[in-house]
Amino acid sequence: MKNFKIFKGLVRKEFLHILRDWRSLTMLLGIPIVLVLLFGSVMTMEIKDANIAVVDHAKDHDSKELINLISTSEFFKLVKYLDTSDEIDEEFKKGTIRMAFVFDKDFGYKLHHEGHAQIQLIADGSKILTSPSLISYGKIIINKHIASKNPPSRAGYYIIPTVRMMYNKNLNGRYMTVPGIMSTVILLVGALMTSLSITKEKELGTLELLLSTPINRFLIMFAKIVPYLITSFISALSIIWAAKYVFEVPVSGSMGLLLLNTVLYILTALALGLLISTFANSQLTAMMITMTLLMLPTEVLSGMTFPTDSLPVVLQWLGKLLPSTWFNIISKGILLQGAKGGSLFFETAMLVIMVMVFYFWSVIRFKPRLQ
Amino acid sequence: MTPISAENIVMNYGKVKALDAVSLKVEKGELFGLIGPDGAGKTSLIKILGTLLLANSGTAEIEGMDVVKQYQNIRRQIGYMPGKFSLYQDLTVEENLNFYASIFGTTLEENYDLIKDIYKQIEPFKKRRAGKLSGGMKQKLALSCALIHKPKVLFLDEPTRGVDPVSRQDLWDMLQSLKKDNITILVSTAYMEEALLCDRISLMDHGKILATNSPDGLIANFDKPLYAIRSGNSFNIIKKLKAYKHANSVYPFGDWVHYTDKRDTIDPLEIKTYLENNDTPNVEIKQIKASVEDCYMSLTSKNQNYEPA
Repeated sequence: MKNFKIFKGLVRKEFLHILRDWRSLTMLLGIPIVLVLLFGSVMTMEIKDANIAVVDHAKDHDSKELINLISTSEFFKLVKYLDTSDEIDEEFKKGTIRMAFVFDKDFGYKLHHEGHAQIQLIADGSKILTSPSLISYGKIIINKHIASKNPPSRAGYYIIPTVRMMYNKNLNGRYMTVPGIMSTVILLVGALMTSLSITKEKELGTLELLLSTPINRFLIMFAKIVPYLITSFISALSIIWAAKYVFEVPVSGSMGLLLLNTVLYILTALALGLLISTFANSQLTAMMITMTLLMLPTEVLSGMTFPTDSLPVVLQWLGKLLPSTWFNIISKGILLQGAKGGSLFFETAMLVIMVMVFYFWSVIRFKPRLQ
Repeated sequence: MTPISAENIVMNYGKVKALDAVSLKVEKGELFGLIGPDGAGKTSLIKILGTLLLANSGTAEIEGMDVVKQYQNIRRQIGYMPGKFSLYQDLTVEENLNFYASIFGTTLEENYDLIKDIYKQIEPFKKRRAGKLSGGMKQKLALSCALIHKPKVLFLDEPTRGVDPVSRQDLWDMLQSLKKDNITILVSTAYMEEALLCDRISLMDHGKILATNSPDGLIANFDKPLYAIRSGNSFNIIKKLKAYKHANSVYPFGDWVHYTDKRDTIDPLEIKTYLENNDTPNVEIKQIKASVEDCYMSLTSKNQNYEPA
């Protein structure tokens, strides 16, 4: 009972700090949603209305028909007819086009008389993330066209693969990136908040006075978590709102389950911040540790942007130590696959273990005296 | 039970000896002063006694409890006011007090009597943020916070540093008045004249306690006759006196130069004549009573480890 009163006093104090410092409060609530909106719209690999140019040496019925088909598809937008292939290079350099289609001379004639004709697809190899998709979209349109002209003959075998991308039919990039950014932002901001809050007390000397009192260190640490759990949850809600209504990421699973896991994930981030604060004596150090430890690894190793399967095994294991790896699986599972709690049991358990480890480790490391 | 006792405390920061076998005993209800310049080891000693630092060796007890093993229990019994203002600047006066009261499971109302003499001076500003208070008011608030849980022992690390003279006097008056509540107080200061306001003092220098006594006792122990000398040119006096064959100690003291002789009895006229014969005209000389600072100067010159900066 007495401890509860002390705890209430501590939490009240933490809330006052947050409310008094309106700059940090704005940052805490505003920056995550701004980041998600920003990255969500920028970090996308989907293709829509890519500018293309056409060099039509044939200028016959067949080439025109195909060009028409390409330029009316949702993927491409024909912006220029060029006379020679030499001009393509210039257009790429000017950045006016992302791909060019070159039709061979006598395209239609060859097609009808020789049974094969050539179209050259030229894309920018330096744009490694988008060019392969551009080429394959182009191929799909051409193959479809040929298939429709050529009813399958009874003589040979034909296999027509029909492809279906589950959970993300249109390969919408935002469905992947938005949950990924969400996990990075929540982790970074959460860990920063608690680590800065404690190192600030170290810097100002207020921790020294606090240490001279009989407060239990479990309480000091726990009281740092509570107010930031609430503020972080509010900013997480705004991120989920943006995911659902701005980026139209479907919430296939249970929203309640997602929120519950988000709270768990925020706790992991805050406890990690506490742990970082026991290694740093200044706010600057805490910030550096948090940034280097979490920013890049989260982006690279957690499966947020790149598939982890292709990473070296060591890095895959390192990735497994990051809370964001597990939250990525959970959030994508709930949002896109409509996963139920049971199938995410392992991932949720991993987060619970991490909260415990981070919290108790930081309490143990938190010295009851000055160093 | 002795409120504060320390035996052979040694504290090293790397190669620097901050405390060199310091022993100390403070009696119940005493206002005890640690007097010495910056770097003498006052802060380290207070932090060790306040359970905030671990000494390299030696033992210390507060109210009969060991500072290492029973630090949790000691922390319930002590009040601590660090040298640097360490309250929450973004919290108001009232919020700071309520916070420290809540930590000890008490309330401002419950212990209002103990701090009212001090607190009522800052009460008109209770809605003001602590960071916006003047230096003197900050110290009053810090003292109030240190007293809110009725501590048996109070540690104050240089409470008058950087505070205006009026507030300094106020603070000492408050400490004197706390004696009626039977609180044992250990206070450090670099201002020698404040030593007179303590019941007993320890003079500290380079990690050692040079002497422990009441201010009067300390002054009474000053065994040589002390002379204050001045002329138009004090720099010249110091130079000439130091060259004098009977000189024991020579050091500037405001406009004056304080001087002791190696011999037990001397004739001041002899010194006056010596100086005036050595191009130092208009010499004024008088025998004076030693101050704490004179005692300090005389003791530091005897301190073996003393190396002038």
